[in-house]
Amino acid sequence: MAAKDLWTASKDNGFITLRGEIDYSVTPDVRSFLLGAVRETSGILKLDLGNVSYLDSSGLAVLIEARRVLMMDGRGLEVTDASPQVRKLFSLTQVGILFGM
Amino acid sequence: MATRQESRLRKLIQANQMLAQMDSLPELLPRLLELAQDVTDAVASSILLYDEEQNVLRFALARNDSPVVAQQILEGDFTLHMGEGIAGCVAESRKSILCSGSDPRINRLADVATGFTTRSLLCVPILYKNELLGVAQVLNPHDGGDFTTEDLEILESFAHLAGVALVRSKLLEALLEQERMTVQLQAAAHIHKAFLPRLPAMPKGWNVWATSRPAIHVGGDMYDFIPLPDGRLVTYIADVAGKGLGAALVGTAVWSRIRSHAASEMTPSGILKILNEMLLNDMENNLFVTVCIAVYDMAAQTVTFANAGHLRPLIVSSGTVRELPVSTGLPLGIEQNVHYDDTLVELRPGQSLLLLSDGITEAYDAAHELYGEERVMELLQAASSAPYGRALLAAVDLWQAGIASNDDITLLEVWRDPA
Repeated sequence: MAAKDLWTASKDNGFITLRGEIDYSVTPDVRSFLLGAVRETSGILKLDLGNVSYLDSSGLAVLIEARRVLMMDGRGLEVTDASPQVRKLFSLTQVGILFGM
Repeated sequence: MATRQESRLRKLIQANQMLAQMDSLPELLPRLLELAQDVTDAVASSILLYDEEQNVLRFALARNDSPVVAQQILEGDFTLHMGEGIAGCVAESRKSILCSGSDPRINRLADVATGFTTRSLLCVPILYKNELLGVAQVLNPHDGGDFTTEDLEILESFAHLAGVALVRSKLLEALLEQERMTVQLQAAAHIHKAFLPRLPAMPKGWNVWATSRPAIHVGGDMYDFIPLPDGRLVTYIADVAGKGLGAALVGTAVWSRIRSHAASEMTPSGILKILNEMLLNDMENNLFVTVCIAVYDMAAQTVTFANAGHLRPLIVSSGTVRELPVSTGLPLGIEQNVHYDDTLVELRPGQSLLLLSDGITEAYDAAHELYGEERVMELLQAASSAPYGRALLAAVDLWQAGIASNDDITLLEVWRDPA
């Protein structure tokens, strides 16, 4: 990749899709978006990370926090798809299990 | 009439002088109301600030000096849409309104709530370089009559000063915030530097090397060497997911807890379990920590690992490099009751064991490409001698040439001389 891949998100009821690079420079915005989505939905939140070209540990921390909020409410977080980089990160850190992968 | 105008102008000049000295937003708003009433000789005033994002006016502060109203300074929390009430009309048109109490546009809620009767109202937009910042209102001149066009002109001039003062205070807030951030990062960097451990003395044939380079947005990479009384050596790398002071503080808590448990009979997996509980129970943060602990028993020529979500250690000897498949559990601070296992590995003469942090694999070059695991393996395979980490660091430096690091880089290596 030659230049930074800006992140975008879309929301369709309980289905969230994130795209692009998610690193420490944008995680505060991603966090606001995700926590907002958690508030506005009910039941299990489904997250598509198939087009996330990069996720760093701060991005992972945001996912873990969203999951924690959902779990405290008796709900859950399910990752329906993940890009190769995200899969690698999940596998390396073992957190894939937490997201149903 | 002339003297009244003179008095207004004098008050305006005084207001200007006062506002030029004000620095903080919380102090500024009450002062603006006081001055608005002063220059127009009004009994009551209010200021609403414009929320650009939501395109509404938010009620910021009100003041009423009439005996009818119990509270002098009123604070409310309601919003007005563009075109709603006098204030909304002024905000929408950006034109001042001077009207009497019978004007149908007046929003009656405040009057009903306070028992105050609006007789004459003056409302002006607060602008700065064509940007709407809010509106200011004054109600009922003290002398019992109505506001005049001169009052309107004076309040408009005052609104101009208010606009400048508001913008200045916002700029100052932004600067202050930036300063606060810089101080925080500097403090975190000091903490980080203070905890850099000394390389321990090693028995004949055994060597050690380590380095930790914090990124500009300093994170929480920690490492340590803890020589035990029985001759073993506890080493580890920890990586706190997060940046800044919070992450640095969690890093020091981990450092201190590992130190206090290292000398006990505890296994590396036992230490991870205790750390996990500490992070979950004692810390408020939403931070997790990856840790790889390696305990060297030089006499037995072995090393015992326990790993919480960290990069696997690499074992290098000239020409070959392999990732060690050590048992790995979740990073610390995520779930209760995570189980960790110990993995025992032999370290033979000529072999080197390298712990690294993901600042290495995730280092960007100018073309925004990651260094990656493959390059790490290739580099280590080609490097001529231990400490291999030094060659890796040099390669990553070259890779990143000119680019500021986005993450801490930490390397810790223990190796044995060849037989």
